[in-house]
Amino acid sequence: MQPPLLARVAQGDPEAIRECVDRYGGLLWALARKSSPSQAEAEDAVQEIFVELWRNAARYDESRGSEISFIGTLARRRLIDRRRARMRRGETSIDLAPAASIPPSQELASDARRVAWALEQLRPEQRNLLVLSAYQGLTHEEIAQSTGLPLGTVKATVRRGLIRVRELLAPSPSAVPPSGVSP
Amino acid sequence: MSSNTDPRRERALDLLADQALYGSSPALEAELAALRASGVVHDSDLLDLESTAASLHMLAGTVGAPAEPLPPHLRAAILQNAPNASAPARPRPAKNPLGATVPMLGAPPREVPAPIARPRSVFRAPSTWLAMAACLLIGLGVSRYVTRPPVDSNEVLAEVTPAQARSALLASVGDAVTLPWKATEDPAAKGAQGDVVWSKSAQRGFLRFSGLAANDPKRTQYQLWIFDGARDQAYPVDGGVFDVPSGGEVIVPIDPRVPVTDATLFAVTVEAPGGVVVSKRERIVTTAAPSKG
Repeated sequence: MQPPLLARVAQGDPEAIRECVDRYGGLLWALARKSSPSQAEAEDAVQEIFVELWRNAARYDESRGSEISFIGTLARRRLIDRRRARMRRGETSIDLAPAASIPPSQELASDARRVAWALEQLRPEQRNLLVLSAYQGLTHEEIAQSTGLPLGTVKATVRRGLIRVRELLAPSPSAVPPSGVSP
Repeated sequence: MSSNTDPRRERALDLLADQALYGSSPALEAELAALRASGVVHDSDLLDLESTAASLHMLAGTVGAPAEPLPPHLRAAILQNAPNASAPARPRPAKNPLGATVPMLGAPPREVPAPIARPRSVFRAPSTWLAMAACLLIGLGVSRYVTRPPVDSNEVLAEVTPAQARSALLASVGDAVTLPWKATEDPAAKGAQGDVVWSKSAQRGFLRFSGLAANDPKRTQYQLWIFDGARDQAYPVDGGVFDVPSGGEVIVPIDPRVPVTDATLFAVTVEAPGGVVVSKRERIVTTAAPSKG
């Protein structure tokens, strides 16, 4: 059996590097476009993310989580840093028109369903606030401003939502007991 | 990692959630350092929460909203700046539906144009030889749809088929159970037979079918659901989507993606292409359950 993709990327395997770009490039591009004020910014962001990935691929530990979580963490940190830098420069965001779409790979679609499955089990308000935070990247203050909810409520709800999703994705002795519904 | 009644751990998890979502700050790190010293929280807690936040960030919006294609010039620029950018690709083996691969010999290299220069980008080609290497990049015709890594032709004989992997699982773990399918009245299940093999310790298994109606993947796909006695039965675990070609026996690996503590029922439904997050259970084709007692 071949080593994981990121392990081969860390070894400088050209095939693995190409596969990594083709497997995750579309998703990272969509994320960068969503969080960047221009196409040029988005392109720079994606290139930065991949450079970061080439430098850190050797740190990926399969036992600690999935490839997409590892790559997503790198991407998220980079996009948040770029966003903060733009805010410090006083730059405002511009919405970009959506580009043409292609279906994600079956593996990514499966991961997406898994995450959506966990979100589905949250209370609607908790789910909505967590999506605004983790997916849209809004700060607590921005969420409070846009929803009209107290800042303390937003903070507590988002935090607890993230912890709850983590619990759902990895069962523990405190997992929810069955409700008795049958197919 | 679960919440408990220790208020210090509750506070630590809240801080770690903030760090996972928004990054760190001096005040947050100072408070966390004190809590870490008391042993109520560990580095693995942060990694778990960061991983969850990253998954949400990457994937929460993609269900029903497909990813966008990477612009060709951007793809070329990324590869140009990658390690070993000048190394050519090896021939890619073709893939058959049963998982075994055969080498595809003599695949010709495909030239791609040099990346478009972007005056504002910091990632311009730094030297002439890199620009030449970019012109010789070899593309992969089905690269967008790759779900498995390429296999060296010398390793082909080592590739196992799903049938072999199923047999290997049964032989290697002591807790693997084999449960016969029970077909429903759904038209797709008429004449369907087979079984599901599942190992709790390995968190792996295989579906085996014969007689299940072939599906058109552009219209419908089959999806496996695993009902976990330790979870809310309204939200069975997604075991993955699969297709059934016409004729013959089909063996499909089970990929639950979420740990299954106590599998009480396996059910296969017919769903829209790509599967669904939560099934409406309108078309259940087969079920399999451990015998009680």
